[in-house]
Amino acid sequence: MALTMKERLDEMIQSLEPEVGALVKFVIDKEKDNMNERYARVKDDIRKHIDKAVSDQPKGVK
Amino acid sequence: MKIEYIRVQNFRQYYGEQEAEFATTAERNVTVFHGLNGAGKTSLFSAINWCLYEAGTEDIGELVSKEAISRAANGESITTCVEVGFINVATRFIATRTMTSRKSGSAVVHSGTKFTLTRTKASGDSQLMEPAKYYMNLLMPANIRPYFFFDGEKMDGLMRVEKGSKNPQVKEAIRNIMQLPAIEKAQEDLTAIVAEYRRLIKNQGSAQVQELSTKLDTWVAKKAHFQERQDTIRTELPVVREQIQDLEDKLRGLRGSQELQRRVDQLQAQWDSLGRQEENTVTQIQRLANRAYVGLLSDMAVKALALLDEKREKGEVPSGIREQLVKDLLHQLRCICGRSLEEGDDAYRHLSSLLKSSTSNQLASEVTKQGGAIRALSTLAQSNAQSLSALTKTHTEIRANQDRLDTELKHAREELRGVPQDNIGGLERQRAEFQRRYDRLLNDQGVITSELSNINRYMEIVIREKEAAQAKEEKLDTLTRSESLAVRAATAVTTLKDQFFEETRVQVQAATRAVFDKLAWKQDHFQGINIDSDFRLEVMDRWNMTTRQELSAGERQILSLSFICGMAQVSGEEAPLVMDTPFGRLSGNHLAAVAENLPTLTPQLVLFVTDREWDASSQQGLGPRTGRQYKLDFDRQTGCTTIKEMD
Repeated sequence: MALTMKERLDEMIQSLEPEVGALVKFVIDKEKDNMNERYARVKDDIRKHIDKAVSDQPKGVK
Repeated sequence: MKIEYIRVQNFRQYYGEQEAEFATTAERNVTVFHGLNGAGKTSLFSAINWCLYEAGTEDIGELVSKEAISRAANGESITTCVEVGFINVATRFIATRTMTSRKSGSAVVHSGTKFTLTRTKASGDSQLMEPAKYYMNLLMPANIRPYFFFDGEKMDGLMRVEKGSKNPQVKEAIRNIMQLPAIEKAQEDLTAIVAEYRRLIKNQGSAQVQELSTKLDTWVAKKAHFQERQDTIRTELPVVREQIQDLEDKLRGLRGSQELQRRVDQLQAQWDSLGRQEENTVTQIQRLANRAYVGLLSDMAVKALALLDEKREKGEVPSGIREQLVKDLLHQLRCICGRSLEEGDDAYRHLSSLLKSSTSNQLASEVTKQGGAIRALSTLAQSNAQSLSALTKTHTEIRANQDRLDTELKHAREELRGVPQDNIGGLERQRAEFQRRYDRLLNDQGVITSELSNINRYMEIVIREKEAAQAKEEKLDTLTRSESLAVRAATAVTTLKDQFFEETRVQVQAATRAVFDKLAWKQDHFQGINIDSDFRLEVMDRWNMTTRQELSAGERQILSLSFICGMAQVSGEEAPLVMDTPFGRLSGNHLAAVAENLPTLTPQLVLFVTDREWDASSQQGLGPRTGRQYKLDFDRQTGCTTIKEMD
């Protein structure tokens, strides 16, 4: 059975490098929330997500 | 999402509280509400939209049951409520929208609506989902509602081609159902964040850390130098101090010998003095000894004086008053006692008689002189004897003292011989040199301590500056890595968006075509359905020419249904298809195709149909899949509708 596009989007995101995929999913979900009128400080939240992702990186990762 | 039931209370012509359950099984997923025009189909359809999204009631007038209004007393509250129970991915939810109104004369005053969404857990407990609107949108976004809950009579408009229009509704439908704007916005967000990181990175400097590191290294080297010197001084100081101490001990010893020497010198001086005294005494004694004959004359002098005294008593030698003295007294008429005399008185006569017995001055002088000499000789003899005695005694004492001093000198000299005879001056110079060295060391230590204090202070400043600069560098590093991640995500989302949009286009196009083929009766006439990259939908005819503009209203309705069902399948949105008067424009062959196929194209089909739409053909097609069937029974007497379930 063919994947739905919802599933396909998840599959495409999962095919990304984990750190990048997590960020992409986070941003898309944030914007979905935003579209659903739960207006968030999207960019601030994205920056926080990136900061945490970078701080979680092992030392020496550039 | 499948609707399980609806409960309405005082909504439009549904007075009081009424409820209808929906068919939800896979085999029977069709629920049909049928009624005459004006029986309340649209009202019930609107009740679902109003409950879930507070939408779709803009042009249907008063929502509050007029029967309820009429029965309410003036000022009395009327509750209008619609409750929709539904199941979504095996979880039950209850959405409730309530509006409280107050009757005011012949009108009602609304106080706004309250919406709640409750989730029923597997345990049976209920959980209020807050904010309800947000969670409702997560379950089924409000912007895709119109594609699943729609008025069949208007649904062909989705595919109607207006002059100059680029078919925006289809595009919007695809974008909304596939939630493409979220991906576009994600791309925009990440691109903006990349730019922001780059701006921040540009504002960070890094050369300062190197400069401060060099400066700090210099201070560290200086500090090490001073600390080394301080350590040397700390080692050297007690050594020098000890040397000084040794010298001072020596000097103290030498000062003791000096004292002893001084004592010897003093004793020697005393001894010398005594020697001179002795010599002098001896000289005096010798001198007295030379006049010792005087002593021998002493007895003779005594005898001579006795003889003179005897002669004087006898008057053989003058012993009276001096002639001149008597003459003077008489001349002055004054007694020797001071009393005045008068010639002829007794005193005068006595003095005159003395004049007769007075001696001559020459003899008297001679006798007196010789007598004095004899007396002087006698006195001298006595004096010499006394002096000699005293000198002898003195000499004896001097000798005794000399003997004592001799003993002391002997002891002192012996003691002095036992004392080391270093050069005090040399030692003093050495001590002074060591003391200067010690003082220099102390001074150096003070200077070094001060320098070290300054260095520490400077180093603290440089360290703080360096830490701040390093923090900036660390921030720079963090920013660089953040930017890197954001760039990779932005690139990925761009690629993903292009790929996803294209796949969406292809999938929706294929799914629409597949459904259309099932529902349209002129399959051979239509070669295909194309959706271009801008999501413009077109129908191609057998001549491979665009033909959407030429479609009939029924065909557009079929195309719309095909498109919606195709998108629903492709998107994965498990949404019911709720259609008000869906078959009004369909011809028999289309109706039959729709009735037969539509239940298989959607997880749940809810139809609000007129009696004409619910004809034998549609009943034949839908009947096997219909799980619940209701008749909306409008009471002409009360103006209210009752929901009646049909067998």
